Amino acid sequence: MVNQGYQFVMVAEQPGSHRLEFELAAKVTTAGPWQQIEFVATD
Amino acid sequence: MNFFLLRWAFVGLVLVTAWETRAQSLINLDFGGNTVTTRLGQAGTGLGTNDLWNVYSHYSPRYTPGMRPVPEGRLEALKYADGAASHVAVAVTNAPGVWSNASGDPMFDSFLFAPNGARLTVTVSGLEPGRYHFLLYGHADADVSPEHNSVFSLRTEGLTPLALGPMTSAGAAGWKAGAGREGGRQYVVFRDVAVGTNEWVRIDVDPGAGGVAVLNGLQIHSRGTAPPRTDQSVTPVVTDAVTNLLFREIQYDGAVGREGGRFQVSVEVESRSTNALIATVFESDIAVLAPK
Repeated sequence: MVNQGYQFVMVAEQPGSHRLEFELAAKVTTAGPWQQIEFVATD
Repeated sequence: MNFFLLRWAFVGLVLVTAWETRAQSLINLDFGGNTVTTRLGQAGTGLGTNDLWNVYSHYSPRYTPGMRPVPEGRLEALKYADGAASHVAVAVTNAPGVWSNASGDPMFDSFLFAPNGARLTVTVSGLEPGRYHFLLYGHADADVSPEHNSVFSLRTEGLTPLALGPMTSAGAAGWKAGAGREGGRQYVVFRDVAVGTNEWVRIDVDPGAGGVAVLNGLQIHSRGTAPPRTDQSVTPVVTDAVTNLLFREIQYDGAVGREGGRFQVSVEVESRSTNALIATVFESDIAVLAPK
């Protein structure tokens, strides 16, 4: 996992299957009466 | 309590995006004078660098001078761009002629043509109900005759018939593969065409100013609203051909507090390439902590 500013990219240099586990922290923003977080994840 | 309400928009986004990817389909057709094409990959549209192209010809294995002209034919069970089988068939009438360009694009360099001043017709049947873009290529470079750019009309037949066109391009004289393609130049597009159950699509190809109707290629790109195809129809894919990271599963287990959201993320990902592959995983104002 590589941080490229506003993006995190995944780099695989070798063939194979992998399971990665990590923690993700998302910033809360105020949107009207709600607190929300939003991010876009890969499909 | 409102403070702790969380809009799980990203979860919906992930699911919707995954569904659309699965449901999207593309069928490519290369028309010409032989039954083999070296064409792979994208043209005006495409899914990847290894997209399969069906090849349509009235002559097998190829046209040679002196052959009896064959004006019509039919090709069943076209394959999707990923190699999977379909129930789609295409029929062509009044196109006995074959000739070529020299652009370097195998699809663009072979074409069928109709007798002078006449119309040739393409009929597509067996499409799953949905909405499609139809990209049509109809160009012959000038040689002893002037440049030809076909005029296309499209209509559907069934409960909800449509009639679209005529539409032609501004021409692609001198275009070479690798120079980039542009709708309205190398091809024309009928966008967002609704096709119902058991409906078929008829494409009339008429001559433009050059006087001859020609047909190089056709792409039928689903807009993702057709039912997803079952995996059993997928033919084995050469592993070396997979050039993207394959995300098999992504799970989130999260909580949101006053300071932010924290998620335990589990990702199952596969690479089938010996080359380094890169994929964007997240975009936003986030941090990834302590990968294990």
